Amino acid sequence: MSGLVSSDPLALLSIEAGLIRPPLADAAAEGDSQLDSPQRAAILGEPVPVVFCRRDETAGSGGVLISPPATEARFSNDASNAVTASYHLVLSEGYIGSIQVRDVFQRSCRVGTHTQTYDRRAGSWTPGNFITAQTGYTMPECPYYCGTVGVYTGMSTLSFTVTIPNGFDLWNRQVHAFIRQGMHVTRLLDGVFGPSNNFADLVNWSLVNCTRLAAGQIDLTSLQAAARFLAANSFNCDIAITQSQNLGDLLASMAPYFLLAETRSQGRRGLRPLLPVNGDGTIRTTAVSWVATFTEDHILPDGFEITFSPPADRRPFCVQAIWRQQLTDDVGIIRTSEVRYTGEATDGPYEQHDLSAFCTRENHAVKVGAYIRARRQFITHSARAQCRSVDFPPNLAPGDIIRVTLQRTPSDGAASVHDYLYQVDRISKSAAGDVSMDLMHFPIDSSGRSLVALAVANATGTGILLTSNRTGVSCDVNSSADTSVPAEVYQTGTAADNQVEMTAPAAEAPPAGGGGGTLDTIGIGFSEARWDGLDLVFTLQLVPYGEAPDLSLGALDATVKSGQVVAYDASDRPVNPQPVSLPSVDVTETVAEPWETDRPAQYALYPFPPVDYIFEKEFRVTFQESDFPAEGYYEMPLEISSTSGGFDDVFAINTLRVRFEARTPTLTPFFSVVRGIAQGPDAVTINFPGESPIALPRNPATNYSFEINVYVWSADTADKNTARDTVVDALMDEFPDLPSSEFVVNQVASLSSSPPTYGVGYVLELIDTEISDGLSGFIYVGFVESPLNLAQLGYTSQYPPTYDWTGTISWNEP
Amino acid sequence: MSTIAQAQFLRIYSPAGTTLHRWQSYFTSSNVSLSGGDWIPQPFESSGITAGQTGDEGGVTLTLPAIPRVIDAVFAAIAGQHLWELTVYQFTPGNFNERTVAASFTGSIVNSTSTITALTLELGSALEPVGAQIPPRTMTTRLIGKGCRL
Repeated sequence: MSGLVSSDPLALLSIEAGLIRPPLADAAAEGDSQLDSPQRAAILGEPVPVVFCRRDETAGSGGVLISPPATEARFSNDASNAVTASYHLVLSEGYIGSIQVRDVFQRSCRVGTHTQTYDRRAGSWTPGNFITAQTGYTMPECPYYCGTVGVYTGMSTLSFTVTIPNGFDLWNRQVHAFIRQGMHVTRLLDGVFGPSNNFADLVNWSLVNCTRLAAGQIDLTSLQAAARFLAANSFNCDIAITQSQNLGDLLASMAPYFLLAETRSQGRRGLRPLLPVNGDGTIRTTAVSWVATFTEDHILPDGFEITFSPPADRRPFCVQAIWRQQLTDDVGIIRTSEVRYTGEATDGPYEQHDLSAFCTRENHAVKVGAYIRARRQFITHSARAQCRSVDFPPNLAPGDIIRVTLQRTPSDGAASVHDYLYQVDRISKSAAGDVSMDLMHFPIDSSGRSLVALAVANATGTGILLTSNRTGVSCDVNSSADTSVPAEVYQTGTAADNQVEMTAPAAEAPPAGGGGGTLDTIGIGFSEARWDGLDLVFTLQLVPYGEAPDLSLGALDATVKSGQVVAYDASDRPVNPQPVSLPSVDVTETVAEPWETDRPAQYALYPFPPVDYIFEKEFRVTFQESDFPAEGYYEMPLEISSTSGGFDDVFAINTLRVRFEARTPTLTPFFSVVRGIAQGPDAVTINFPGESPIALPRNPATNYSFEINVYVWSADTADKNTARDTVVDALMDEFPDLPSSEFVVNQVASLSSSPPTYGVGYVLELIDTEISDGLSGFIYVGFVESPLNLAQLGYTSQYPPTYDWTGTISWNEP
Repeated sequence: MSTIAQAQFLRIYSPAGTTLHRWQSYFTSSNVSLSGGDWIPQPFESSGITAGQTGDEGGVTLTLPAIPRVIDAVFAAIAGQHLWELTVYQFTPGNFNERTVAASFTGSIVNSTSTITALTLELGSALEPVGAQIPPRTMTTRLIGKGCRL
């Protein structure tokens, strides 16, 4: 075998898909149990085991032998110096099925008595060392630190008691229990709360209980399909998880042994079969169909890339799959199934895969071995294809089969076709609209059937079931046929320790004396583009967000560059090969002058720009006729690649797509702004709040509906209706983006104070505008998204509550 | 030549399913009524969306302006484990009614950074090295008492 050293993500796909395996560290079977060993004590901090299994008595498979740790113990002796030992054992997280008498062992012997419970302490004995010296006997040396009674919340526990005659030091040996019905979960397939050995159920339980994922982040549909696949093919999982490990690592290591792959679809985690399946979950051995065909019309020029599997990883080898034959009345037998193609690798090399921790069916192990061997036999390469979003089937999903047909036309004229089926492993959709697919070669036979699926479906085990290799005189005291369940005995413990619960502090607040918490941001983007002959003319707008920026605003230089230019023919297909020379744009210019320089005359009184003031700069780029195609067209994305200058904190968000048409008949302006600047509201209503007037900034990119606060102050408030036209004109002059045909002032009331000083967030001023006789001054307008609550936005009044106006001003699109 | 536009819609909702915010970044001058709610204009950008086998892929990066509305929503989402549902619609410009879903993604905030002007959020459902262990619980003195030594 060989490792693969590469930084290319496409090469990593082969590893993920199992075509190339990492070097193995062969080790003893995980599923084996050492029977005769000292009883192990639980150590604080070790995981509470998860016992996940479900015995199928008819098939004679399933279940798991566990060796639980003790948390409490009791030792006493009688006059004959026989030692009675009691152990309290933690079996599993959650509720597990009842344990029969025949299923409890100490060493390899069915001895002692037991009682089992859930969510509390099993048994009623008091832990401690109660050994006393008996006349004529040597005092047994039993442990002195016997623990205290715990509460065992949410776990299954077992009390085991055994009496050993004088002279036999066997009271201190490990207790084992064969669990037939493990931790109860809500099963995916039937919705019943009960034991399960379906790996998909374990994944579902883990995602909820180990990672606390919300329901919306779990792909329940794919998990149910995976559960159906596992049930239909009897790929069972009977496992005791005792070692703490990362869930992601566990899933990545175990899922392939159930012929499943982890998936993330629409952000949701799930599983999918690695083989084509029928509706009932069985492996599909008939012809497969593909959901889409990709040709040169779909795939971008130079957008198809192939990585072949290294030859060293495709040499013949023998898979050794280790599994566990689980007898119904005895401990399990670890077995090895060797899977190879006829006549090859008879003396190696071997590749060992240990499934013994969870696999109790020979066919399961054999089919996994066949899958590993067949994939490396038939799958020769992986690929990556890139295409445009418009050519991408919207419903194509990971796991689907597609066909790729590409023509090769070399200069010597010996044309050929690259024509293969692929399984989609990954789909990446960029914000610009391009789509990239990672593909895995999907080999089929002449009948269109999956070669790998056929190999797996046809692989079956020997069917040989070994008998227990137990010999000698039995040490069992209890019968191997005793299926009774002892009565439940328990007691309620008291927590020896408790949790420390912190009291949540009051909400965080900014430091006292600061200048407020709102932030200033400058947004920059394309607002317009057109062709003027051979000139491309586009406009950048610079728009403040949040509160009005301060005086430090200087000049801003913006650099606009073109991205990858793609040429298309008259049939909208990417030209192959692409022209060597394509037009490009690289221009840096000043979009906005420093505020002091740029300030329009009507803003002379304002020390900093209002938040609704838009800086705007037109760019003009001249192209040559030779930049335009003779036929077809080019597409060029323009992006703001960088900004610099006094406008710190600039937030660029736009991409402009420019189309170069053939010169005949005329150049057609074309642009598609992913996000543009608003053209102004269709309707604007101005309310005079009457009290506590608040001036707020408007975000021009979100101006769909506004509540506008207008503040006017003067000594005279008479008859403002007569000033309607004057105000409208003034508004239109300053805000050409605001379509307006009407301006109405209603419910005019009196002003009662002199003007305050300027506030933050002013937008509009009317200077020296005669609104009515004796009334002149300023109108300040703040634009606020309706119906957001102002207080929620964190704004506070910048004006004293001295106005007593109420009324409405509105204007509408003609 | 067909011209295709893509519009991104973002829904933030509580784990219980209550919708908290509906934002969209394409129609900058008007709300969009869709799926029983109004989607208000809010500038944001997202990285591409990847679906497939898990690995390092699967996350989405969102960039939003650091304005009070966004900051409040992000802080609340981090505290409340809110879910973010990003949907990318594809359509012919001017004909949004005949749209298709180009991609969608649901995730929670797994990482976030910010400048003074912009927030960058990584959405996903990471199985973090800490907090995603199996088995999920360990033995504590509260659960098992002092423990024995054998």
